Amino acid sequence: MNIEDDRFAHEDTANDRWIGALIHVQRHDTPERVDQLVDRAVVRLRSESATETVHTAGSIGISGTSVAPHRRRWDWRTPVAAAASIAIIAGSALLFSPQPASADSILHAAQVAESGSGDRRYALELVFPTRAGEADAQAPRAVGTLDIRDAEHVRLDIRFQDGRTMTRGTDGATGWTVDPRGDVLSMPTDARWPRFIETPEGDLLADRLDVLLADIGAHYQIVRCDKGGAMQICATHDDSDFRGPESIELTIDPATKLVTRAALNFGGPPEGAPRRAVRAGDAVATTGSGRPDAMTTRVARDDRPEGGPGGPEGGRGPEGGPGSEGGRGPEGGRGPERGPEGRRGQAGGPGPDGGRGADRRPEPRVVIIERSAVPNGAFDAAWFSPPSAPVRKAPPPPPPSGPGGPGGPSGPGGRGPGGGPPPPPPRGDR
Amino acid sequence: MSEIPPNLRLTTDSGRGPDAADVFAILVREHGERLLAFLRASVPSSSVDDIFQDTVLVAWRRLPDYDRTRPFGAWMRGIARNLVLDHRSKMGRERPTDDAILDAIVRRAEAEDRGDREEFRAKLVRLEDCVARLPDEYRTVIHLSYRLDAPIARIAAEVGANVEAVKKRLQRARAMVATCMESKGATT
Repeated sequence: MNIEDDRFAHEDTANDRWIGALIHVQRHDTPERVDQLVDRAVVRLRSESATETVHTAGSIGISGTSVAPHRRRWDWRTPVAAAASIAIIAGSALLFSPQPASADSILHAAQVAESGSGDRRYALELVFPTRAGEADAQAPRAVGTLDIRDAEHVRLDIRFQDGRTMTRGTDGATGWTVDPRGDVLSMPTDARWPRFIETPEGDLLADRLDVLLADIGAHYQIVRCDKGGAMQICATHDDSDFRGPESIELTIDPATKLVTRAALNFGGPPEGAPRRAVRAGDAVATTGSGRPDAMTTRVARDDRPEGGPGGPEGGRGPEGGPGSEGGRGPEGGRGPERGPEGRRGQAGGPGPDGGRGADRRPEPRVVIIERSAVPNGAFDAAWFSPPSAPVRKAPPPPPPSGPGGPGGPSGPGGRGPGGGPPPPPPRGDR
Repeated sequence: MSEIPPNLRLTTDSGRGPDAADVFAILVREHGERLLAFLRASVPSSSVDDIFQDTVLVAWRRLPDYDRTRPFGAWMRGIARNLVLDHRSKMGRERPTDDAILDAIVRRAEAEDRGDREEFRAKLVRLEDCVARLPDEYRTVIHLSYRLDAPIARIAAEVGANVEAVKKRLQRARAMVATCMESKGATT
């Protein structure tokens, strides 16, 4: 083969590959897919810029010169030069977009930014409804942290006003919780989390903030509501078929587009005030004691797809302590263990505590999730694993009219053993 | 700059206007499909997304080096080409087997720089029409290979031919599509 033959062979091969590539792009690389690829890259470059560290992507040759892999500090001149390089482009772009960023575009950017992963810590603040005659400032509160590496490595620590704590975690292999007696209990790794840290679809909220943001875009009316120079979006629920907080206030980092704070308002009037009518299919879960648990009292979600054939945990989880467990927990809340109707405890069911239905404390009416620093930048590998020994003694029983307690961290069964037989629950709307 | 289509909606922050990454992302989107086409012609499918991502990241880091008198797409593709060469060396010269082939692919990609994203998409629609006009035996292998990502051996079993025959049939099908595209005035 002479040189000319080679050239033709190369051209033929290139032609063949080019057509093949075009067919592939036409069939697979839709504009939406391209946008996703670009979005992912932008999240990465924003993340790199945020940490002010640049990692070169292997041995990369640029303009004919190959550079060895190295790590270097982000030179301050680089972003300045970068900004200068595209300043003209940006200026031109602004001609076409004179208006400030819309809430929609910010929400979309935040959704992209939140699609990343990595160790994260969120500070939690839970505000429970006040009782009749109580001022807002007197509302019972709880604080805690939610530590997340990914969907399989999660740890939740909450301390209630009355001193009780709730600790739960999963390391992917073992789900665990610490009960009021300080005993470490195992639980399914896919056990449901308290609703206030879940998206309506059942994803862990802080792990899937992008899902929450997508929900906000789909089911809420959103407006910019910047305060004190902070970029904020206020979302108001406008879809009666969608279960979620009534309103949400997001604070977004203008540089990274990450959500730094989310205040979820589940509504709910103060205790004693007229309550919103319960929708058909709603069932309020309570503790086995008949006292709805502050952490886990919730509307039954009986039609979850995971709801399988009835099992022994359908009405009562093995960890269901006497009257201390939440209305919905891992065993009772999902999975094949669920009863056919996904039975959970019923409101006011008589329990060993004498059925303190009147003392029930609904779930938090406000949940504030705030991104905070991870100690030393990353969690220790064992942080998400169960402690080998009890971490604390069982707290004293909650006062009859005190703030809603943790309700048993495990919150597994629909009711503790003291709970009376559950009447057939209506189907939930989830 | 003509690089930015006026219908693109910008993501901005705090009402201060788009930041550097926002505008950069707009430019990358504009050239995304064409960059992907270049990569799909140059490396195995399994590596395309990774090299695409790396190209975007390297381009971002090298933005100060960007000569604004050059087309942005061509500049990105230059970065991608170097990454393809780097990938090839890592993969034991898997493909392309010759720099000359890569250069020939680059030339085809350069031809696409004359138009914008919409024109490129329109070209792909014409290409799909050409595929639809293929005789059944050719259209079937194209469908199995590109739509379903079926391996050659499975396609061979599906159509009752041996592997080499399927490879040849795919090659002929692509050549027929190329001829069809030329007849429609779209150079390949």
